[in-house]
Amino acid sequence: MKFNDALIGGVLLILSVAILGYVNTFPAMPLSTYGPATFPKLLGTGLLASSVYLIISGIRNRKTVPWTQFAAWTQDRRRWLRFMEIPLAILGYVIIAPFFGYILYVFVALVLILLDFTEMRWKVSIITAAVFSVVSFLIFSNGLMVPLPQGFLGSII
Amino acid sequence: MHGFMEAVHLVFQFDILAVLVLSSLFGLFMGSIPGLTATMAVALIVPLTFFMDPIAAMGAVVGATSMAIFAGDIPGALLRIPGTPASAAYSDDSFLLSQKGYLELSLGSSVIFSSIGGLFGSVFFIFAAPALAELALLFTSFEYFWLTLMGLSSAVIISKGSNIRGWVALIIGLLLATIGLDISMGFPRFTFGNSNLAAGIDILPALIGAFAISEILRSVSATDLKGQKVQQHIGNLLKGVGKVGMKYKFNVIRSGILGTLIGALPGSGATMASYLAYALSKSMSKEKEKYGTGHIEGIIDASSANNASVAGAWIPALVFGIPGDTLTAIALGVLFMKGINPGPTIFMNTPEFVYAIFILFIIANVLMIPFGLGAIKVSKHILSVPPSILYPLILMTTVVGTFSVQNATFDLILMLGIGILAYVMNENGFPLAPMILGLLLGEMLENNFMGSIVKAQGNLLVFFERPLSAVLGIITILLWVFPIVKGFVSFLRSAKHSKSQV
Repeated sequence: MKFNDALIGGVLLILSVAILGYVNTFPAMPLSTYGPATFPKLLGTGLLASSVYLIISGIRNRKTVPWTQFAAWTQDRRRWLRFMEIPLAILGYVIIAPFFGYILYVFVALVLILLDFTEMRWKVSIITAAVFSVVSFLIFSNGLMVPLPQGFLGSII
Repeated sequence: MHGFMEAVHLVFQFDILAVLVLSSLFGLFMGSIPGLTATMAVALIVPLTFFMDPIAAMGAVVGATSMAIFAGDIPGALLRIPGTPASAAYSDDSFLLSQKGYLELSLGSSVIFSSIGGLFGSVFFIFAAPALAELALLFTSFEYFWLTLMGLSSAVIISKGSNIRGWVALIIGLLLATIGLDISMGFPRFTFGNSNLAAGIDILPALIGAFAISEILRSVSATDLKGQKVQQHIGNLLKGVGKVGMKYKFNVIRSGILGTLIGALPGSGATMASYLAYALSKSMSKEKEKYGTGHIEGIIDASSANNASVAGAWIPALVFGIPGDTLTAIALGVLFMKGINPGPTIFMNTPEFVYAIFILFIIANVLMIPFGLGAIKVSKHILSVPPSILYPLILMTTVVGTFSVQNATFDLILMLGIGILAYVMNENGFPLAPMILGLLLGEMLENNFMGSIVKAQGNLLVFFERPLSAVLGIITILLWVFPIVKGFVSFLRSAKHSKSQV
């Protein structure tokens, strides 16, 4: 997903203005004009200048560079699904794994992703997910003493 | 000498050597598979280093990086697909050479000259780092301020794409580094009441997000996730290597020096070292016309240079705390996590630690020969592992690894956020190295800037009063001015050209 420089510059402009406005509320050191705002203010100013440059160059090149440009893969629904599975798997670990526990969550998530990636090779997906979830649990939980989520299964066991 | 003997004792222990061997094998595996980079290999190792002592952690990083950079040559020669970007400069030559029936010579030369290049860089590192550390002892906050700024600026200037994108990436990294309690008053900045952000952005989830998650997102969407089939038979890998080594011995020395120096330049790295060594080799060769058609000379130069740069990048990292490339940026992140702050005092206070890193580099580069030859022999099997199975496993390893560092799910959200940011930046031509270096060095830059500006009572001329500080300051300003002058000159030239055409 490529964006025209003017669009990127616009987003950065809003960000830099917000930063400069926000750091103005920071206090200064006693008997000094410097303080927590000094460094971010310099950075915000640099970002502001860069964003203006990007906006100008983006507008100049608008005839040759479209506002948005989608890669070829974005036409393929299956590739979108693969792409989305990555953030969903991470967020799933944050939200669902504490309830289901590490082994169950990782096993189910991996089976689902592997089935999609391998085009429904059930046997390979289930065996790989089972081995990975158990071995990684043993390494991290038993070997390295990491308190991985136990979930409801943990309390039953 | 006492420090050296202590280092030998520290390194030659079963657990340290086992970590070095295992990380080397892991590095070989990751480097051999197209799409999995050396940076990703180290990013995946990082969570495990949390559970190791500092020397074992460094062993893991050194082993994985050295091997992965070499291993990128394997699919280059077999399939014309570089395993890592550091092998891209000469994968055409490697492949075409193997097509001519010299596969063994191509890969055998890669492993031998990668090892020699790596050893060259290591020796340079061993001699240069302590000497530079003596100089660094003279530095005050003014010199450190300029040096950090110089390192960050050079990372922008040498980054791929337009400089403005590099500056934006750097500013984003520096802004991310300002999140958390400020150093002057302990005032919370950009935390928005979130206690997880009070200590700032944790570098490890950020590194894993930037180098592993963004790469996974790119690969699973843009590639077809199929394994590679290799048909060739691999015979005696050392046949003829000695002969070409003797013929091109000066190339190896030249590229070793070039690779080490490029590696020491912040923001550069093995990829740039190999491209420059290849270009230099071609320009100085008597057989220029053979380059790109399967000629061994460029392979020898570039494979020596990229491995030399791995050790070279450690020179500024260990002496000044300024990493030479993204790999050493990760290594510094690991050191910070262990409570070790690199700098000249590390050479005085814990010389055994510095010597241990030197020894680890030597061992890793010597091990590269047997391990590399072995990896080439089994490369048929490594390359057949389908990415459709590999990427989900890598994803889950990053999840459990990142979580295990602090047992914090917030780190996973951070990893994902930085991963998506890095992915979008990459897609739009914004280089990642300046952002990561900005995030890593932001605190150091701000500390030295605030310390200096308060000492100077706001007078910026004081930043140029000390001779060393003035030299570093002028070099930094020249780095900023150079692209502007270059742009202006090319603008004048094109204007003149179009005028003459009219």
